[in-house]
Amino acid sequence: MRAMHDNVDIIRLGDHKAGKKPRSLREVTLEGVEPECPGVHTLHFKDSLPLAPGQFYMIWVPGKGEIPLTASIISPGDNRGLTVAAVGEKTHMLNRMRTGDRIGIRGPFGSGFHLRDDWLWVGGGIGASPIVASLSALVEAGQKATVVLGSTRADALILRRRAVALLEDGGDVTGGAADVAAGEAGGGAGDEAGGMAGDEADKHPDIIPDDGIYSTPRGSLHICTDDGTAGYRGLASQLAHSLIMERKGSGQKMFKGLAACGPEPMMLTLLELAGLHGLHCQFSLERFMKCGVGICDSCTMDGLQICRDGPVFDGAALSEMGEFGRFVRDLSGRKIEVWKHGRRFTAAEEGDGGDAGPADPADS
Amino acid sequence: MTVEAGGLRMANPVMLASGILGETGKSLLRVHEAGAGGVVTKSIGFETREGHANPTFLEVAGGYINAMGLPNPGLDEYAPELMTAVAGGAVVVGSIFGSDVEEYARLATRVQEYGTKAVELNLSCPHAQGTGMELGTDPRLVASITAAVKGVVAVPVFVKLTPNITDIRDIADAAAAAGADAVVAVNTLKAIAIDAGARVPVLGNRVGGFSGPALKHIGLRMVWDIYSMFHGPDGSPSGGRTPAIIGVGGIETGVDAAEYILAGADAVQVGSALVDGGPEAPGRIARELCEWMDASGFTTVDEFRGLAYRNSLRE
Repeated sequence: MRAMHDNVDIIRLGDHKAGKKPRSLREVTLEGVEPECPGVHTLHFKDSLPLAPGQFYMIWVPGKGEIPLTASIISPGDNRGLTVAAVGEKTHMLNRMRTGDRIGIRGPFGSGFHLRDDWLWVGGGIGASPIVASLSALVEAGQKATVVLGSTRADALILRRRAVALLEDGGDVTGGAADVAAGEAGGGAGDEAGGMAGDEADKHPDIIPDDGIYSTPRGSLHICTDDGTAGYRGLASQLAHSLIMERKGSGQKMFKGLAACGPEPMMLTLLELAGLHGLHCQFSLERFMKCGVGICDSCTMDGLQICRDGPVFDGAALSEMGEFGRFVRDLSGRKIEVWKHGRRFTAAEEGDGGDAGPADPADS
Repeated sequence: MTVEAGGLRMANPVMLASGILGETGKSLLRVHEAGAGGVVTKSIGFETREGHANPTFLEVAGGYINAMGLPNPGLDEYAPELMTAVAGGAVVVGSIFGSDVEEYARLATRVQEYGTKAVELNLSCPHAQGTGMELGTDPRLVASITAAVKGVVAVPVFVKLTPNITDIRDIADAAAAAGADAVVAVNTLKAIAIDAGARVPVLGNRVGGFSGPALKHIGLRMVWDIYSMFHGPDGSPSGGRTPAIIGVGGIETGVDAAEYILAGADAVQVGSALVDGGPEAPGRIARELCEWMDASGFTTVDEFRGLAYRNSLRE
């Protein structure tokens, strides 16, 4: 099913010729480590290079490795945030970091989302990162957004307090957060035994009603969980479908477009949905990355490079990409299925081997 | 601007270097369709290799350092990619690496079967039984590998030379005597990046290979040395086999390519320039070279190949 032909320009700040600075390695100091849910933290730091929502950094953990991570926080000034799920060796290490620790960054790289009024934005699991980053830019620009954030279950939801804060007053709910007490006691901030981590994470009362919908004049947030422990019971793609049908039925104008980031099977479904309803769309993809600048071809898909031609692609491009939703390349370049042995691939596990852990931290 | 370099015919003398955008046939075709005269695949062996851990690539002053570690899915898996590129009309040169003479010969035979128009021997890999020294630093090994491959394939055989050597002429000479149709000069220069803040090497493999603009004058000099060795003090070819020379190292513009040809190259390869310039870089450089030739009054590459060397003899 083809999505409508797009004339949406995808922002490509990452390869702007303003200088080679994005490609140079630089170190940043963490100004805060904020728990999102067990096994997931947002790392706060400052960086002055302009960043468009959807772009990513290559994050170097000295002695451990380097992985691509999309920014979840783009605040006024130079505030940046990366939301990291502990799914492998490097991401576990990042989850145990504290304020004052240093990481290396290259970037930002790649294409960002084009930000327009009255789109439906869907974030599945850790894919919430660039969606919430986009929300902050949309709110700042006075553009309305409908956001779906989905997860397997309630205690795996991430970035929802931030989304609420953005919709409420356009502001930042945390000022660069403190470490989790469990982390300081040496338990490891990424512990799944984080009943305590969960309590810390809810310093701010959860102001989303039971139906999982939070609306303000700026837009609305819709929460969903696979098991129904919070908000709508079902997949993010199902909720998206439901919201589209609601607009259709109510006589309201249809969403102007659909943007998404999350598990590739989810995005494949959403591409078909967009096609059925004639919606423009943009999706943020991921693949294993090595050079991050479009040279080594590790992140290749249908002859394109995710790090340079993407990670954000419009519907027209995606409709031509036969590997989308079906195949990835492993670190040797061998073609493998997106689903393998019941586990879904994730670029954050680069180099950790096949048994590094579940694709969804909430499953561990 | 058709050229023939070491028996390989191409629409222009600007090729894609090995290791760039070579994971799939479609990626290679992208560079071909944007105007590259030829495309060299990533280096392929028999075994699957994941390559080194990240960081594998770093931008530094004057260029880049990479330590990819020869990642490749193995020839069996890669064969469809080769065939896709060939079927799409690209002039494909298959780059191969092995641990011993026999492996090179077997790889070359297979790679020819898939339709590559030439074979390029990557000798910048450590000897299996060795000290870790690159194969390409041993003239006798270079000669025996080259001879073995020449003995089993019909397509031209290119030998890629490492600059990590005292005198590249020794190796070029050994390759030529063993029948190499062309020598490709040069591969990356050994390098390391140390991060002062973290106080450790940056790359996962610690050491890597330097490439990019700062390598240009080094590559140029090596082409110059090889050309002068094969063309004697009066500029005419010396006795014996005279292989073509394919120049590589820091080429970003058509004028850079012209400089390499003036130094003695029959063709050139482009790699690092794709970081800034994308898949279009080799094609763009070819067009710029064409413009330079027009402006300078040259119709063919033959007219000015090695001209700077010959000019320098007239004192």
